[in-house]
Amino acid sequence: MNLFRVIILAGSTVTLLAAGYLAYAGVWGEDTDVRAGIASIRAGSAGNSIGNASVK
Amino acid sequence: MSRSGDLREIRCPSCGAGVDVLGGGRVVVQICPYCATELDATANFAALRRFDGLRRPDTPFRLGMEGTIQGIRQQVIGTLGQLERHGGRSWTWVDHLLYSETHGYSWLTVEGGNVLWSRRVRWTLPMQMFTTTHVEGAENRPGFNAEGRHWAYFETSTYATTYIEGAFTWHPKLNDAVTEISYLSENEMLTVEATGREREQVLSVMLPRAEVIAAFGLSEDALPPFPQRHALAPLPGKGNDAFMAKTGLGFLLATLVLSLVLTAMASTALPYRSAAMADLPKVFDIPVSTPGRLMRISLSADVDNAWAGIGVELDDPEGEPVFEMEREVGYYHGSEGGESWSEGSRNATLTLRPDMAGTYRLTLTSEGGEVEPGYYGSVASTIGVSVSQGQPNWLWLLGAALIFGGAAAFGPARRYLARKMRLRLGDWSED
Repeated sequence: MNLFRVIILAGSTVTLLAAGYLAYAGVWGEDTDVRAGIASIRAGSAGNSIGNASVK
Repeated sequence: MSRSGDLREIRCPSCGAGVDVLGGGRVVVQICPYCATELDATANFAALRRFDGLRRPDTPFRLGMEGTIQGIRQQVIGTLGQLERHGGRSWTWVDHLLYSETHGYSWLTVEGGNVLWSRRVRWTLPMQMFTTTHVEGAENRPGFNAEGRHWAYFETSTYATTYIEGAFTWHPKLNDAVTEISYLSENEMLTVEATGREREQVLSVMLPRAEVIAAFGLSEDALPPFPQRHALAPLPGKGNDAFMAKTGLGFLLATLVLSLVLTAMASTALPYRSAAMADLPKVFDIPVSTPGRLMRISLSADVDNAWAGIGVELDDPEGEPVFEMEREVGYYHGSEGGESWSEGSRNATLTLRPDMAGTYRLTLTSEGGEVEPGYYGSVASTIGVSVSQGQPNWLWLLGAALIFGGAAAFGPARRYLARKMRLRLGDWSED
């Protein structure tokens, strides 16, 4: 097995594992308006910064 | 009449030079390489005629050179310089007749720094494919299947011999136009003379440059290091492309399996529940057991040419508000100009990442809704809600699948394009 094939196999393995972990953890999977709404609540904002979201 | 098999050298009756007797028993003429006199090999090498003004073409092969091609010992016994003119351009190449005591006659062709080896075959072919009338009358590139391969039309070539030396099994003629039609398979070229009675079938392959140099003991610079593009040049990436295809498909399959595993790991936090719009606000308890992972709230409403606003409020297990938002669903349909159309959706989702385990409280409220003015329809009477947790973000797996699929397809796509490109080296035009 030559170096090119070793690199391809290693790269593919890393890609699969990374994609699997990121998918499992749901990275970047939240709705952006929901995330912004949650952030506003935590910051104590009265909201009104997101389109159709009214935040407490 | 045939010549004596024991004869090794003769003296040219025209110029007196010693001439090696080459080839097997089927040789009928020998052209003296010194004075270009054609000698009758079947009549005691009597002089027949003389070719004047010949210029030896550039080729590293000389009469009498020996080498092994694909395991067969061959000797160069004849040289023909060939010239094709078409459309104001010209192409030259050199054909060397080879002789093997065990396999008979074949050809070694030097063209643009490439070396081809050709031999006669006797296959059952659709011979009408090798006629100029068929090729010129075809609307699409002609092709056929034979001997387990597909053959695609490559070119029609009309050329003439401009130089002759050595031994031949026929009487070669100078400047006589010969028209041949060639078809290409994966790595072979099949050529048949378009005219004439015998219509010999000739199969050609390209020989690796290093192999030819080693086989005939040539110097490294005997052949140019960068030969011209040729239709029989090996297609790119044979070894690694197959590996890439297998690896890509394997990891694509692994990605699919991983997707199924992650799907199986997701669970339902709240099975589907429905509620009449008139009963809103409505509160649902959501037991969350996978904090830190994605939770998806799916909403639906039976709107028809109408929209409905659904207020969504979520409180965490400690009673603290997580968010309060609104989702709108709207579904419209109709027909226009005899064609049905629809737009919008009766479903909406919210995806979030709860940061603690426990029972969350989901409150749904009605935020209004109305039928689209001018349309027949109805506002929502019922809404549905379900919640799943431990959801993966499919985009990462989709991205990986695209990478692996691309890697698997790269080689075949490259070979497909290379095949298309090399067919363009021929003379077929779709116009």
